[in-house]
Amino acid sequence: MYKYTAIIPVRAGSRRLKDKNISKFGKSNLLENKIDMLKKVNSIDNIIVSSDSDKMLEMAIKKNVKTHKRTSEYCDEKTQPFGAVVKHVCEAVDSENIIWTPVTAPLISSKTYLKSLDIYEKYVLSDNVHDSLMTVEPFKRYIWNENGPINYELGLKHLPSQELKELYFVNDGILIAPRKKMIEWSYFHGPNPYKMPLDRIESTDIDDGIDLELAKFYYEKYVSK
Amino acid sequence: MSFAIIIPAQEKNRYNELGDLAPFGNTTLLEWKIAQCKEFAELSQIYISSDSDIIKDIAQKEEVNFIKRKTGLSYKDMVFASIEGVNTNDIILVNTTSPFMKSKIYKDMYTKYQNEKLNSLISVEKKKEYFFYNKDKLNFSDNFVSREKVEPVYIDTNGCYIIKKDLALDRQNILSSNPSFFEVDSFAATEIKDVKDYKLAREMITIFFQDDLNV
Repeated sequence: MYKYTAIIPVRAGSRRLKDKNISKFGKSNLLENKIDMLKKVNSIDNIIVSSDSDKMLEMAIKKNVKTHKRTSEYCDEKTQPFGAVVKHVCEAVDSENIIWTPVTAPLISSKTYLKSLDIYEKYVLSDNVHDSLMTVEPFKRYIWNENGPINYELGLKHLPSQELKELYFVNDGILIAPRKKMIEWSYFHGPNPYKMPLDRIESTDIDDGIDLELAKFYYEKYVSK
Repeated sequence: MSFAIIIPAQEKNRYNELGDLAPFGNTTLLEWKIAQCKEFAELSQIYISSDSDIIKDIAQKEEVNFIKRKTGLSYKDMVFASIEGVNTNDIILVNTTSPFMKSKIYKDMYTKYQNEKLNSLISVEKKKEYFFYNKDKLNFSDNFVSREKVEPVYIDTNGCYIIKKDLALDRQNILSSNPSFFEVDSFAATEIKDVKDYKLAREMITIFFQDDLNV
């Protein structure tokens, strides 16, 4: 059984950006970029591309990594709930731990993957302080929902943004947990995850065309050189 | 159109010793913002608010209005001293620290504000992400749902605030209790809050001039 399997989930359809997962990126595309980066991480002993797209699975084969063919019901975002997709993919893998790592976070370095595994080993596997690890982006800004401000008050109690409490959002860069737990939770992190902060550049998550342009810009400026 | 654009400006601030006069493109952050406002409003509608004589000279050179404010005012007091200094129904407060809020966005915001007869409108970035705050989940529970289904969070981009002048003075706030939101993309939402943001924003200028972004 493998100790660490990295799963790269990619599907053919993408609502906001056509063929997002294989968009041109650097000298290849987002999927190949992610495979190449994961191959640099020695601790990862298995890489699997999970997809409904034959084209993407062929790309994976050419890169000498394993593939998992998903039926359309696990890719159309309608038939099966998201948790069922995570469970289904994890059940198909023979590994102690899963690293769930989408291609839409293309700027995470091999060094950061290594660091995440070190943290996971310590806080999840050894000390049992947390049940999983996920990467987050910390930030301090004024936020609202439909009901009003969430992290500050209007009027006299208004605080300068520097004095706001830190907020985090999950950037879907790296999510690590024991495979059995991911299946039990039907999710890629548990109720008590270790929140590993990434800087803004590594946190880049591609959702639309603007995000892709920004990611390409960061890549040319900071990563490829 | 009965509105005034107010641009607060400082010679120095927390993140840069050149403040709003820090280089940006082939000009400064302040002049960059003035240029964007000029594409949207008449010169007579643009007001620079500052305690700096250097900034006063820039305002004169750019042929826009200047509001001299007292040194040492808090940001809030400075904003309200500036608002009291103009004589229009509507106030549009913009900041130099949001350099990718282009004139079209300001124009679209004001059009929405007028057409929908709003009292208060702010630029926000809508995020459908999983947020944590105060060590707890903010907009999702243990019954995880897909990102598309999480409750959206709106980040105040600090890029543009439009409000009725009387309401702002009454409330001593640039927001009503229930402002409307105008969503901008992640690029326009860029806010310079520290030196790192500033350096990054300078390098992102090339993207600003790309018109063919697939959005």
